[in-house]
Amino acid sequence: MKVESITFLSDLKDVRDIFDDNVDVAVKLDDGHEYIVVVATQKNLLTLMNNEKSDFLSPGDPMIIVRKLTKKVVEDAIQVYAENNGYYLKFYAAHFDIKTLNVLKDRKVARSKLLDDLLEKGESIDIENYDLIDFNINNL
Amino acid sequence: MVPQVPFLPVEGFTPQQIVRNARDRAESAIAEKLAPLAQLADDCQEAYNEYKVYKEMSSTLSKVSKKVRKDEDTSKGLDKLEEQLKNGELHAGRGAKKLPGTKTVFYMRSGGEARLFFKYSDKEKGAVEVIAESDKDNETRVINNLKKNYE
Repeated sequence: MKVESITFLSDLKDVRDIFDDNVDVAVKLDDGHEYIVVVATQKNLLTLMNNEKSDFLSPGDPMIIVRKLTKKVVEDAIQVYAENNGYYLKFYAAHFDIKTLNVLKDRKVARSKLLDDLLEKGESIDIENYDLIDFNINNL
Repeated sequence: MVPQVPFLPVEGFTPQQIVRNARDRAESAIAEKLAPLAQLADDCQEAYNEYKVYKEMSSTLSKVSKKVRKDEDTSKGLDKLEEQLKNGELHAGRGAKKLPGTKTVFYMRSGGEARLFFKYSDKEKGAVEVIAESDKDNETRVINNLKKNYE
């Protein structure tokens, strides 16, 4: 998917240590949507844990991890994450409430069950990837 | 730098006493060196603890705040950030950033969707004004609005 624009939502000049920080980045794709991702350095993960005085990072949205926070490195990473229809960029920027997340999981289960049934009957499994958007898992 | 402590046999003292004495001297030397830093940290902590937080949102940004708070996780995240702002914990979540294009606006970011925009109050010392609340979907829109309205 084509990246139309990449905007840093804080100034990279304000980054004290390019090896230890994170920034919000807005990415506009050619589907007309904007996706916000957090780009962080590996070292910053440790700093965040230290800030939280914890041995693990508290739950949060996934971050794109880079070696250093420079314009080029961040832009290169985002271009790669935008490949394959922007799958990983969209995945990293996604936010679902728990109900939506459950529906997505149910859909996957239902689709898998449908494929199993078709294979069992010896029928074609040439179904559309986007079948089963409307389904009721209770009918399975 | 760790101060050098001579470890020499001293007549009339057991090895344990010599070690204990050396350790005490080392500890007090370190404490003396670190005292100004500790004092500064305490002062900062005290100052941070005195933050008062007010909400000063425009009607447009109030509507955005209301909308994003419809999401339970975002709302909880914003409440937590506000609490951490009161305590001066600006490194909380993913940390605070200065809003580019402004000199006075900063924003805190949770590990999830919550984004809390604030400025230090001109009217009251030790007070901060929350001027916008957002999630990631509305972040660019809120930032553009703030850039227009704040220096």
